[in-house]
Amino acid sequence: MTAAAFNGLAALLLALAAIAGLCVGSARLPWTVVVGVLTAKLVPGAASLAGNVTAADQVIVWLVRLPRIVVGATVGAGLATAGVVMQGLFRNPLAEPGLLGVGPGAVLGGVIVFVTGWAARSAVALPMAATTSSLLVLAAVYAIAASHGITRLTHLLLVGIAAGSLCTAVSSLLISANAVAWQSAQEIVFWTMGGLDARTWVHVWVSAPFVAVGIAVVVWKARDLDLLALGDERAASLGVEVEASKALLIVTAALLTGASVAVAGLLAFVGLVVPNGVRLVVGPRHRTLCPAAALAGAAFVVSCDLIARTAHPPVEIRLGIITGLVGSPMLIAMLARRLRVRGGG
Amino acid sequence: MVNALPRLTTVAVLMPLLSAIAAIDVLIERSVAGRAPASHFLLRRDAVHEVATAGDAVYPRRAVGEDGVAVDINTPPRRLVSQEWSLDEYLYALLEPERIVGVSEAAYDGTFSNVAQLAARWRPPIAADVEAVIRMRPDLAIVSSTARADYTELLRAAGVPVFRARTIPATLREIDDEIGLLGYVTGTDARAAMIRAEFRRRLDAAAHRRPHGRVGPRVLGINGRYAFGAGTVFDDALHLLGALNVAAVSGVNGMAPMTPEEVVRTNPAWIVTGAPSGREANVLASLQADPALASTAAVRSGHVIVLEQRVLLALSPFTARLVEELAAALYEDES
Repeated sequence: MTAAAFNGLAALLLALAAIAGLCVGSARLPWTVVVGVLTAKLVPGAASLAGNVTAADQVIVWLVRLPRIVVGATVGAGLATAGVVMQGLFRNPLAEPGLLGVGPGAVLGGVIVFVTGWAARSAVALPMAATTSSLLVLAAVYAIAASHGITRLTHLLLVGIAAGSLCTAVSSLLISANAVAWQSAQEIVFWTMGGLDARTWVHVWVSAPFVAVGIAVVVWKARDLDLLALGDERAASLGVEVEASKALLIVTAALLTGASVAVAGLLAFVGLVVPNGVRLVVGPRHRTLCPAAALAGAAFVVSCDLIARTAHPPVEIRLGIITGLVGSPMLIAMLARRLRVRGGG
Repeated sequence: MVNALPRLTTVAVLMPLLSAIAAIDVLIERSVAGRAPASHFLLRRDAVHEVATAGDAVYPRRAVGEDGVAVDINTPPRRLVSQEWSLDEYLYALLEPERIVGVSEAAYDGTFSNVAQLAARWRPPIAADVEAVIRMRPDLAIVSSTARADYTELLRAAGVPVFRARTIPATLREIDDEIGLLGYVTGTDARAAMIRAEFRRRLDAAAHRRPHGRVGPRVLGINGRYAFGAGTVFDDALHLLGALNVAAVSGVNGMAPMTPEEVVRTNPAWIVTGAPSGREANVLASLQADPALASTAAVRSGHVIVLEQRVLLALSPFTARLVEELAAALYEDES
């Protein structure tokens, strides 16, 4: 399959999942109502055309369902692109965005605003705190790992894993110490399982700019990623400013991850499965791989969210559970296929 | 770039960003909190004891929730939604069941909910998400003080009046206050006054089971691995009954795991724990199998009270039953 065909397929899946996501939910809305709301909101001067649309319909479509889909697509694209960068830089298909400690850092920020009660008072607090803490963790990891202007990836990896473990431990400590408010503890645990419930346009504005800029940077640096896969010395001999490129790409991967975790919690396997699967289809060249992985990641998360919302009504299954349930077999299948190919070859 | 980025630039960028976020947050809160016009009957939590029952017919009225946001009530709400387990219990205690058009998922779980039978009989839909609540067309949604703000803000954006109620009381008095406040909010003042009077009567009766001059026993309350420390309703219930909460004495605040050594050191005379209905024997057996707990005077003398989870964990008018059962067990010989 060509990259163009794959992108077309992923875009089609994303569109279908988005349409289904707009039309399906706890409240049964005729598709004509959904179209009416979207027309009234998106087409200037068309508000009068939405005749039988109630205020509640408008809220459900425009303020509940659509932001959720946009956030899902943003998060999927961000995590998948971050996975591409990590696997490219570390030259290891098992590298994933969480290795830099940014994901656990974002979770720690979220847990802090939960236990202080800020998450219950402000819709902005949770994504902002998660984003900020992920950036602080990234800064700390980078500051510790950098030495004399050189940042070895192995050092970054080790410091990132240690920082992630530290953040996870502190989060767990705060959750267990906060058990007096076990309703709060339940909110925290549910949030950390990942989910897109009650996502608003605020969450779109918090995450989308980071993800859009991040993807643009990765596409811009796609050639550097290709050459870094050959090794630092070889890349340098081919004109890559190795340390500057690595720094920029790692910061970008961390930003993509932090912005995603901040608005959706931890989503298992998205940054691992999607890049690996897409690489098998479109090949390892990053200029092709990055946009394809972003598109596939968006389609994957929006589709998984559709399952999460509809599999067990009226209660939602946490999105992180669905991405894990779908992603794990996919990863195993990909590994099995690769082993079969190698065995046969 | 490599070194400067993490050390200085990040700090320089993030500190103003954090300040800006905090400032925006304060502005948002001030803008939504609003002010109560003088013509409204305003009820704040700290005024519950001072304000006499206004009567079911006094409208309009305004109440200020835990988030500081005022909700205006022009007529008694007919369709109410509860989003949380203890709020289900308050509403079923206060309202005719048909007025409750949405409940939490836990309302149907008889292990934890004291209104599971009512929910099963009236079958209100579960207020699982924002969409579901909007479709219930509630006059008022009662939401927990611990619920995420984005959930509440979406409901308010949809035009659903939302009242944030306290769901983590630390004392029996706070539950008493909450009955009055929710009675005011739901327009059931007279019913709330009756429930409060009954709540107080039951607590008083339980407190009087302790013989005059008798030193209360040393009690450890645990649920799973967590002990009920200071600042919990359980602690306040023991205080009312004249018993000593050994977890609170040993420094446990809220609910926290207690080390086995600490359990042995405090050597409670009574242990109170919870179990799902029908599994009391299993819980008792697990207590006896725990070396630390088994060495306590409580387990050795058979002074273990296994309550139903919904009784032990109730944070609503149903908490009166917890106090009564504790009193009955602790002062059984004297009754």
